[in-house]
Amino acid sequence: MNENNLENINTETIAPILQAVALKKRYGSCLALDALDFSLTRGRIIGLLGPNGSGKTTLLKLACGLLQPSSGKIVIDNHTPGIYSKSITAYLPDKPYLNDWMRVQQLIKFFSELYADFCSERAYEMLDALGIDCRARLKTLSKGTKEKVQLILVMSRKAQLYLLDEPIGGVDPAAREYIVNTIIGNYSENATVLISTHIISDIEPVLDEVIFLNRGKITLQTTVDDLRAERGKSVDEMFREVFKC
Amino acid sequence: MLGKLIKYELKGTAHYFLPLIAAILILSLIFSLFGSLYAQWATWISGLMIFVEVVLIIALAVMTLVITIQRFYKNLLGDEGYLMFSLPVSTHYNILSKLLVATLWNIAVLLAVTLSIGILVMHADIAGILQMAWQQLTQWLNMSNFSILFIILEWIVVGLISVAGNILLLYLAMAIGQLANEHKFLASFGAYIALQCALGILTALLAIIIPFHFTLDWLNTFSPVALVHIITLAVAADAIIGGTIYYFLTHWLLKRKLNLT
Repeated sequence: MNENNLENINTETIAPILQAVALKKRYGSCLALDALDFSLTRGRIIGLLGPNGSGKTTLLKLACGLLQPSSGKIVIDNHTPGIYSKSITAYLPDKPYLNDWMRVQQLIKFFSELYADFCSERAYEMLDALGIDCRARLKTLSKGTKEKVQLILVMSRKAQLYLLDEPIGGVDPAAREYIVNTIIGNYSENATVLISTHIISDIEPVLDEVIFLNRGKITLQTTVDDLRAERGKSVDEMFREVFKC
Repeated sequence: MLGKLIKYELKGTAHYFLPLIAAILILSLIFSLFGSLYAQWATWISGLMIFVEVVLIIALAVMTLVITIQRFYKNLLGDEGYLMFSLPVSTHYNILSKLLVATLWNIAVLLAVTLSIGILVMHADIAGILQMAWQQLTQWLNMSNFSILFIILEWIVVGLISVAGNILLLYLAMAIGQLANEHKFLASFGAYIALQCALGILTALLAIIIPFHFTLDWLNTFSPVALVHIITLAVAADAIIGGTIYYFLTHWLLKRKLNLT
């Protein structure tokens, strides 16, 4: 391997998995994201925390190319959202987005045919653990079970970046623990998981970093260890303090 | 990847279209058997059958239009678009898979309607229909004048292109409508009306300008058959140019201006 190649590999591994530069998103007269500048390092579990309407979902949708920035840019592994970025990003939206006429096993086949990094065995294992019948049609499943299926499909990919929008919002507390463990147990090494949520206490133990988003601006980006060491506070306490009504 | 998307689009649409196509064929078969048995009894029965058949055909046409629109709107621009647009496939593939499958079903429905009218007219004499179609076909093939056969083939191709062109105009209207942050479907409907108006004005202008600036006398030098070819080509060119413009505008809007809210 020549020097040039080594250099390429080095920059590739060092380059942040996600980077936003002066990222703005406007809906009509409403400014949803206001000039965000931040980057996410690889191999971290990061909480994207903020009250309702702070811009969390908008940010994740911009990263997936489902929305276009009004100005500025967002890149994933140095690529603007496109075929490449989508092939390394596993996205879980905050709403049901699967074809509900399909059976769970058909969805698994769909994912395995369209995502090269999808691992069917992993999906069947998780469905089994949560007691979900893979022959059931999606529309016959309860809301919470549908959410579990979606999360299982997303976490069964060996992606480099996972963008999870409210992954545990509608799931019962018993399954929550399993899901949180699934997230930390299943994401590939060197991958980054960005979890948007306002249910902090359940997810706090697994977080490496937090980003606080308020009215389209980042008010805090720090590691959980620093938060504890420097301010002597847990993420939950900090959240309640920053976003006090 | 395009093949896989087409496969899933076919699966996603077959459960609407196959029952519809089967229904119209079976119903016209039943009507025509019923009609041939009781027609001598009461003539109003066959009249009623024809009326019901016409209603059915209209219903089928409306359903086809609704499903064509709904597949694009719901699967790409609705919540399911979150999945389709986060797949690692190009926007071209997403549009093309929808377009090819929709065109296929539109043509399948057209053929089914033709066949069902045939069944009704021929009093369910399927063998008779096939025999007549075969006779007609061999007659065309044996014709010394190949240009007529050629014209028929041309019209089939032009028909296909026109169907695809019309579907693309619907897609373009929806791609414009999704730009709105609210009331996207209403915006799409508005966009469609606006597009149709613009096309109408453009056609009217061309119809005024062309004869005014260019003399069309040279057309008189052609034989009637050649004229038919020229008109066919003009219609095809119109559909191809229109369809291409609609396609690329739709692609640009979905790639650069996608706004899934």
